[in-house]
Amino acid sequence: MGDDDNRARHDGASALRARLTPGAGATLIERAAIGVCGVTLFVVMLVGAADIVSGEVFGVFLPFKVDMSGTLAATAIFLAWPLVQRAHAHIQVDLFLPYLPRPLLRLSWWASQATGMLVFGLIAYGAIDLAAESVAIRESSAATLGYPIWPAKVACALGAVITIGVFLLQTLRRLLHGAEDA
Amino acid sequence: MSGLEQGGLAFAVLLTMLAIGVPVGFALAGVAAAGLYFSVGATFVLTTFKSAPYTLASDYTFVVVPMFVLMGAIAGRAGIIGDLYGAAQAMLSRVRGGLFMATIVAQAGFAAASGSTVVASSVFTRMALPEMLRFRYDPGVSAGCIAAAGTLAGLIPPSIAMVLYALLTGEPVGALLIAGILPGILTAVSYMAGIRVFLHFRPHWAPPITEHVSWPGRIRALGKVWSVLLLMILVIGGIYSGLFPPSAAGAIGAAGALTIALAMRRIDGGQLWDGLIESARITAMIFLVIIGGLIFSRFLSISGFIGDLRALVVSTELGVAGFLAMTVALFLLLGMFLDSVSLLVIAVPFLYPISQTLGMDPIWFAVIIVKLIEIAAITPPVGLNLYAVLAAAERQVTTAGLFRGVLPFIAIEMAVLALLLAVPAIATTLPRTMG
Repeated sequence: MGDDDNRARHDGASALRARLTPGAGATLIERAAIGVCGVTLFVVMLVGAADIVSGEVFGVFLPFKVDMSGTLAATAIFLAWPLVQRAHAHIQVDLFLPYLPRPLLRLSWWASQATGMLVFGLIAYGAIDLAAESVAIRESSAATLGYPIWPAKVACALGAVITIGVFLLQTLRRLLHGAEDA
Repeated sequence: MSGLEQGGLAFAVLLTMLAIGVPVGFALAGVAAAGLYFSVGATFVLTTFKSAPYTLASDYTFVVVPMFVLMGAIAGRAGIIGDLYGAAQAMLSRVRGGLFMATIVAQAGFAAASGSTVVASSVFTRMALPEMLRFRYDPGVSAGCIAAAGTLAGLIPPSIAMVLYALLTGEPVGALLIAGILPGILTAVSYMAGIRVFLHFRPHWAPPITEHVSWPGRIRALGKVWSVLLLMILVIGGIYSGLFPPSAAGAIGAAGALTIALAMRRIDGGQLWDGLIESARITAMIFLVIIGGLIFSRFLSISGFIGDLRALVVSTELGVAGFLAMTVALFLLLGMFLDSVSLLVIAVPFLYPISQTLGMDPIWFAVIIVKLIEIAAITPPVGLNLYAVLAAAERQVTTAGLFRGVLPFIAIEMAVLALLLAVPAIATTLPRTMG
């Protein structure tokens, strides 16, 4: 049982690592984005746990917990989107794909890319606008600590823009080589 | 165009896009953007896309999603599942169909440490299926049992499905999470009772096991499940007693799982890093669908579709029973083609307002919906859990065998659903007693 468990965990971890590793095609900025993603989630976990422990033990709750957890979680989500797009790991209905004729499969790929670019174009537009407004006023948290929020909004805008970059790279590769990984 | 016509057209385009493989989040947000552009104008589209994604992603209430995912990822890597399964197997070794029962009990236990049905199904397939096959259990029914028991994570807190429902409807997350406990336990008990009945008629599904574990062995195995019990008490107890809000429960659960894993020396830096990145990736996937769904529901509302549909339901005097029958039929039908998250995001925005117009208890309705999406997760041909099991089984079981083997569990699920529909108190009692 123990060996099976360890093997299952090891196999799962290896497969996952292979899936999560950005690969040769990923740019340095994508790798940096993934790194920030992991760190922000770890901080969200630490802040949430520390708040409850300090609140219950010492009677002092962290005043910045709500703002900080929210902005960091948003940062992690926006910065993880390039990774998801790079791997085409979005949730989709693939039931009918094996039965689609080749031209329709090609249409499916292009429809996905076009719709994705439209959606992320709109999200990026909004995120850049939000970040610009935030930077202009050097937006900071309303909580007691008053830490700056604008870097998180800039990171979100960056995440959306990198995702657009991934879309464009994939499209370009498809146009030039007929396949993304060529 | 009337609201109903606009909404109908939008659904037709959406389903076409989904059928040709356009990702669900893209299709939802894309159709909503086009619909809003034609019904309200470009400025409204830009404003919506500026505010909705960031506002939703930064909402503190929903920080619980990545944290629950992280908690499950750490618990999985720490081998907590192995301890659970070992203990359940040892305790039930003398019972006919004991490995089925052990799988159900262990999956119910793991459900209290992970909100993801797919993670539970795939990990248990690697662990429990080889054991079942070693003792000449029916491969299809064994795989069906693992897939079905995986759905317990959808009801037993921390349930990501319940958090998503709260996100879509504005219902309190804590009450919804607690509401899933009794239906989750009821489902697990029904699976075990149902399996006993089925084995009476189909004894070849689970031949008797001659290897027995001694009592000292059982006690030793049972002693290893303290980690899951601790996590369960920490997370569910904290939410139920009101010691901390569900948003904090996620962080506490993840930190608790990490502390346990470190104390047991079962996790290293690389595994933790993988867990963090996996959580970020899964959360990003889920949130894109949710963002698309919320913008789509905004379009349905602005176009007048929801108002028209509500008026239609009221005018036809469908009543609560008729509406529930329609909901069950809709989920069983769509569930054959859509995964759980997409199903939730597409259907809840227009079903929830109607349920409130008809005066239904929102907590009860939430439990019914989550139960339906969990049934959908094991309904062939699409059921997400079925494919999670098939992928992890590595050809130890055929697709046809699994589809046949899961049927007894779908029958049990339908009986539980009927019970939940007949007795709403199963879902609503615990939330009413919360601290």
